[in-house]
Amino acid sequence: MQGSVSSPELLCSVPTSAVYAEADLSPYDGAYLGQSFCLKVDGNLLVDVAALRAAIGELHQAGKKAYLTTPVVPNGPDFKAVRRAITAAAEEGIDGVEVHDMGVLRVIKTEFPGLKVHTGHFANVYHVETARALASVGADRISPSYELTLDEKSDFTPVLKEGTELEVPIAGKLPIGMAHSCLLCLSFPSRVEVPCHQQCADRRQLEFNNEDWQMRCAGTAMLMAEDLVMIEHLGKLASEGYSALRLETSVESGEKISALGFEYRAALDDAVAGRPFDKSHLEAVSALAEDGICNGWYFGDSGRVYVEMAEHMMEGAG
Amino acid sequence: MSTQSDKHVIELMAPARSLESAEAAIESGANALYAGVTGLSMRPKRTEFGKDEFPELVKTAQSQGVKVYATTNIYLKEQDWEFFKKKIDEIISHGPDALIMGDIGAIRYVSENYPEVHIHASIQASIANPEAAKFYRDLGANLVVISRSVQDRSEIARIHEEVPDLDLEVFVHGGICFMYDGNCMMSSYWKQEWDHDPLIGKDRLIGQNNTKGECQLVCKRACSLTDGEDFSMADGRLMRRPDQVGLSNIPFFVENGVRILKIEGRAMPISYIKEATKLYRTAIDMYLEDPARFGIKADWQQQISALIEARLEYERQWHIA
Repeated sequence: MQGSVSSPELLCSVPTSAVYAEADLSPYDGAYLGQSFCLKVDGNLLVDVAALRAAIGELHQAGKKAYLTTPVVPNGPDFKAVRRAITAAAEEGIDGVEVHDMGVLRVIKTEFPGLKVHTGHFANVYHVETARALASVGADRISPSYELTLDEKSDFTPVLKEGTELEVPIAGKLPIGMAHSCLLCLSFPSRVEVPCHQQCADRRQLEFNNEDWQMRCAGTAMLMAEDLVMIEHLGKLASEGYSALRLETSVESGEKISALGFEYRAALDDAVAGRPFDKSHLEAVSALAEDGICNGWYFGDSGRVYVEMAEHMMEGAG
Repeated sequence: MSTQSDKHVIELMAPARSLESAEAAIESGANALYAGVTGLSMRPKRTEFGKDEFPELVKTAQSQGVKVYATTNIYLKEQDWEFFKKKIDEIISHGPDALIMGDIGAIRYVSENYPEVHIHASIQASIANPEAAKFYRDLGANLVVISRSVQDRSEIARIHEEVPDLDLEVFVHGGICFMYDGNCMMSSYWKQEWDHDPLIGKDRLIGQNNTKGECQLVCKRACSLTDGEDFSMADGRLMRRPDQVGLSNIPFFVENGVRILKIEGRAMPISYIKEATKLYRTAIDMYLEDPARFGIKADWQQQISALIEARLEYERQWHIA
């Protein structure tokens, strides 16, 4: 279908040194290093600066891009840690830093003017003029809000010709809320503060029993319970010209990051080469999702819903 | 630290949901009002001011020396852009004292096209560090609203110290979100659907808290924390905090450069707005009169309890509690 489409970067999120050590990142073109929800997470690459430096070096040696993510709303001591991580990453030649907070953007543009800035989902970019405003203050890549539909995201593509890159998510558990306190350190529901026991490393769900739906709880962040799956739509996304396709794997194991990567890499290569979509990839990534799959936001439905692609379209996808 | 003379410019800002509520807030001692303008604020239409009401509000308030800040803090999508531009022009023509805005594109548009207009960077921007405050100042904001989720209030002092040329506002009383403002998509994740919006003359997705404030109060619904299998570890609600109460913080706020103390609650009944405004007026005046003698009075606790009960009653009425 699209024989001459250029391939966007295929990226994942690698939150910690342990996940980095476990994951086979060979299917990916690069990775976002660090966990943006909480700096207390054991081995968070935003805090373990030595591991961050090593990971950047290894990714570069493997010919891959290394990006750093940063906390959503850093304040107080967290901000110092962010500065430390950015300084180390800059020294190692990081390829870009993802920011959600405009204070972090400003720090990079004033103190590390050579660094590329990517604005993330929580930068709340819902309109192309907002993307342009951010580009005017130094953003090199924009991630339009995850909440936008595929058509609404298409409205952003004119900025590609203006030199601004665009990134969209295609898989993983997308964050749907960022809190100021950790639900797992506040002894839910009493709200008595308890020491952090890294409960967020385990699977924790918030189940709305009377309404039959759930969210993944990562302490300070709430995420989709289901896995976003856009594997059957990669042909369309590649043809739109997006610069990067991201697997939001901040709460996934290294093993799952690798398994998802191989499926998405194969499907993306097929799409870019104009080969038809192989439905076995959809089956494989669906099997990896513990709590079902979704893509509703992309198609104007509730985020947790999965909108099936019509059979005849799937045959032509790729 | 602020000087004594700075303390005289402290504004108590109250919500206005109608002309009647605006009058009540003014009578109760508000120095400023914030009011949503139809389609551009983050609250239900029943709390917004229409085309004819808004100029009347500005006229009524300003004639009594009370400022009016127009809440225009939605995050704009393509569908909203033309409506926004038309509406902003209309709002500005009525002479509000400032626009409260969150969307970076919208702030840039207003600062470029209406350089004389004052802009307050909204709570939606979740400004929680000095660098973020500088960013919005450089973008054109004259004042920033500090995130009501800042964990350590010394961060407010640090923002004032590092950005002394920027006015600061804090929420001093009212409801608070579980999530950082501007960082919650739980509503549309749970449920959103297409419907026709006569205001913009287009179909749009209804149910997005982050863009339009169409919060479906997911954080106040009953849920269980589980291990993802069958084991329920606890039952509760994400958000069970009552009103945020900032009476004891008044001295800190005033001494650390905060210019506006804001009461949350545009959707709340007029009686709530009136009682909250009266209480905070009394407290602020007491502090300004003699900072050394400022302290929480016993009857203030009773008034706070009444306000909390009023919010719970509101939540029951809307089937939230």
